[in-house]
Amino acid sequence: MFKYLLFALTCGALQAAAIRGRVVEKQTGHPLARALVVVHPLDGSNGATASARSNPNGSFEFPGLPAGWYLVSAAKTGFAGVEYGQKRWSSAGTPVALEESGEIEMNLALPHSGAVSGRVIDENDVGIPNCTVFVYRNTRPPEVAGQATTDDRGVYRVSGLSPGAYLARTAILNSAIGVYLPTFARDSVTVGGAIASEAALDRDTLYADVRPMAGRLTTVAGRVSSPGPARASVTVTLVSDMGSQSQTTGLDGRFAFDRVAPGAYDIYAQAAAANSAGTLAAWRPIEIGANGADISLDLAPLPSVQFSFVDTSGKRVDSSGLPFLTRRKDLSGPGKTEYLRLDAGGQTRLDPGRWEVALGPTASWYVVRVSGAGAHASSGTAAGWNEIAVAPGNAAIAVEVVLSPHPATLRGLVGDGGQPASGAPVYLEAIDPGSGIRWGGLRATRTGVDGRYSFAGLAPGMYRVASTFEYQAPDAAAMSRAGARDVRIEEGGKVDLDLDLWVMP
Amino acid sequence: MNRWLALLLAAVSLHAAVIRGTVVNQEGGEALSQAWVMLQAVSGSGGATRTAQTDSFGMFAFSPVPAGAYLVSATRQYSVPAYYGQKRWNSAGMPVVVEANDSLTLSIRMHRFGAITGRVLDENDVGILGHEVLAYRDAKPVQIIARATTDDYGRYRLFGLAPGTYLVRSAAKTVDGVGYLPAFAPGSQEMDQARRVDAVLDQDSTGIDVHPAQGRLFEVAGVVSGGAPVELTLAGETGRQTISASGAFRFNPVAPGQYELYATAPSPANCRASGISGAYTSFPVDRDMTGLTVALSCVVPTSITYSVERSATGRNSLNPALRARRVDLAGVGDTVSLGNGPAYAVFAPGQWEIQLQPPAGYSVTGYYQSNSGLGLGSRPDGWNAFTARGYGSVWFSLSSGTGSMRGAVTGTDREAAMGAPVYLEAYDPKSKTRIGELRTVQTGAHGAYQFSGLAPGVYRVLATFEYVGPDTATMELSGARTVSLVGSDPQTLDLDLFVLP
Repeated sequence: MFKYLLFALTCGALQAAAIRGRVVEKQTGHPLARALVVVHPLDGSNGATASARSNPNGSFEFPGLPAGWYLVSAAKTGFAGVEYGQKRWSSAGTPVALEESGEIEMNLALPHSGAVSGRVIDENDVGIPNCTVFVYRNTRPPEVAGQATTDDRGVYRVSGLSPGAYLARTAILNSAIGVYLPTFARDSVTVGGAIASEAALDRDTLYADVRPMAGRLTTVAGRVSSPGPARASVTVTLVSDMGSQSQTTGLDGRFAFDRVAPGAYDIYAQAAAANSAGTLAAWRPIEIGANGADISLDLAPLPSVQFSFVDTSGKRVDSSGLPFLTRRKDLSGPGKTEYLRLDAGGQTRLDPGRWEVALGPTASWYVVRVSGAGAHASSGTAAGWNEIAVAPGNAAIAVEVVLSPHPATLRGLVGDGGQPASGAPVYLEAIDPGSGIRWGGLRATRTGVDGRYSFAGLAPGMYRVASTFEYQAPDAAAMSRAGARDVRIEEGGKVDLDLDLWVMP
Repeated sequence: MNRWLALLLAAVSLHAAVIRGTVVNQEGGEALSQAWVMLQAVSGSGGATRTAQTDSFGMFAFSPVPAGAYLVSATRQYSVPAYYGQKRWNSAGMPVVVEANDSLTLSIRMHRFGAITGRVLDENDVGILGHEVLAYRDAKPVQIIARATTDDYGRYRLFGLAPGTYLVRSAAKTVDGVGYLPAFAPGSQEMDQARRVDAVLDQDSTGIDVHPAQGRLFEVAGVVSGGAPVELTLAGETGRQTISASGAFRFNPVAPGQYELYATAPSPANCRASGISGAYTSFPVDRDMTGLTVALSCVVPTSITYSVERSATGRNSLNPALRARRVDLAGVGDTVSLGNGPAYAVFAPGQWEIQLQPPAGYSVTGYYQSNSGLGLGSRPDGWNAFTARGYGSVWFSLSSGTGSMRGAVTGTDREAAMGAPVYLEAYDPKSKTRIGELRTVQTGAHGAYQFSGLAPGVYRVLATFEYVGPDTATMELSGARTVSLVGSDPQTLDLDLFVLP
């Protein structure tokens, strides 16, 4: 960093400078045409973010840049994106200092994303064609990262994976002589017995073979009843962690999903109400055993959810300008995040099922508590995502969100050998004071040209903070390695904490 | 053949035998489970046709089996159908003979179809992700046999290919704002400069890389009338794109060339007779075509008339099966059944082929369509071209005086060839092409064969164990005999079994 700091400019220069370079395929060194290159000035630098595509020779150029500090990154479909100056794929990029009239040349080498491949084989080691294979991140519960279909040799390959541990699992397989249950590599029906494959950049992780295990499928049948006259065309959807399947009922309201593997499911029904009066819906979480299930679903108008926002003294808070976020959560994972749209009275209609709500980034409030509708802090703290259960039916559902107008701020200077570290990544995690486990997501920022960082809108609690170029998204263990500092933050506190940039020895 | 003929039983025995065996992979010798095995008695011998599926050890068993002569075959997904006793992958099987109380154990080896692999590469030899690659048979008319999509290294793998020569072509694609024109491997836009690639059983033919040239692709877009979701298909020689649109539509950019655009929409209220409306147009694309207007009009059902010559039977009782398939620049579509003897049929606008399958004792002797007169070639008993314009009528004439052909097949040892495949194709000597599908029968226990229900015209006939379903060129090379059938007189033609030298 010293080298850069010598060139650091305290204000924007009048004379233009340039960053140019070449994007290549890391494995072969071949030029990468039409890669997207982005230059992003650090806080405190002049200029705006700019982007360009590399030419057929892989070359790019940003002429006419004001002097300052920049982060440079490159991306192309099928490749893992890189930031200039990364030590490893998991490290953060380092900023470059551009002098007045200066020119910086750089090479950006893009590795291919990781891939997991293997074969789906029968009892004689003969490949099974046309079998769907899901690849999950090795989390609990596992999250789907991609899927593929086996070819004539039973070979599958799921690409576009970031490095890490993955689990491969076949979908239900029906054949003339039997039924095979969804099976993890290598040959376990339960996630506990699954063997993970480690994906790495620029190579295929091979031999994630699966031998599907024979078993018994069952039937989930039932009837949807609706208020008023019988209606055809009710869509019934059965969701599991393997995805979803839908059916449309006839006038009798009956549905039947055959060939369902035992396990946990969500079952939804939805239909248009008569006279265009909105939507009717139903939802039930179900556990399906070996003998299947007979389900009865009652359609009802979409439940009305009444949100009320109060501060810690019980006074009503005008939420109209606050970025409240919501997303559907079912067994196949969280849905798309959207802004929560409420009417003037604070009401909204949501499809029955599980939902999550959170307050988006704001420096003026933090969430103290969410209550009602079985709310619980799904990320460990109310300041993160809070799950609510929107039960079907006509009963109004009340959700109260308690907000504090006194969020805290954490700020400071990151030093590197006694000098301010410009553009250094700073990571902050909330932790459970009892177990030390991370609560909610990781927050990240970068220091400005002056080496200063700041996190605003923080709830009180225990946190750990570290600054390092060595990681892009450190997990709790990496935070510990990076010498993360514990910090207790009180309500409304303005905590100053200077940090030393951590460099891997 | 001698050995079998010596064992041949003149009549079905009452004593039961057993035919069992295993089906294994040619490549690695692994047992193949879930293969279907068919046991087919040679005519005049044995019992009825039976099927069984191999168990997890690859084993099958037919028991009890009446004594007799049988053809045994096996099929399995992505494996080449296997016929017990065949010389090569595309030869017919030889019959096996079982006597009363015999126990016969067979081993059937199955081959995997061939595959072709390679990469689609940009100007810097970097693989292009998500590029569609097509395999064509090196024959005219061009027909797409297999498709694949490249992975993140630009790799593709086309599989399920019967042995033979293929052309590999990358489709048009826009990547990061750059258009790639369709290209035959290794990088030509012209078919005659394309690399010929042999697909081989149990193997991948590797290294068939394609370097597509960059070039201008064109937009095809416009508006379609009618509020209902309209299904629009744009067909060119590299395939079809089908989209659903209400009002404005836009296809993925296409390479320059000739295209067909057809559209259909459900219109039960406005078009009561057919329930659909449609449109068809054909045009060259040599620039962006963003102002297309597709006007749907009601499809009027096409009337189908059947006239029967030389028969007192009314046409209504005949109920001949009518089949149709759409034909466009991308090739022949799926065959759909239009029922038995329909008086009307609904054809969405565009080019179609229709075929009438007469009942036993009748043949199709005439075809006429109001929209463009006579159809394909001169033989109404094959596929007949039909230009659907949303209205029109079709006439078929049938004759009760069908021809037949029979005879005996003699082997190289001058003895009757039992269970030998006999192939018959309706043949147009002018264009030297086959009309309709190949017909196959097996000779019976005394080497006799018979085809019936034949329309008048020219045929070629061949008896051989060397091929399964020979194409017209193979029929020619194997010395197929040409026969002209006139009227309903039965033809007798004895054949020598063809054996490759």
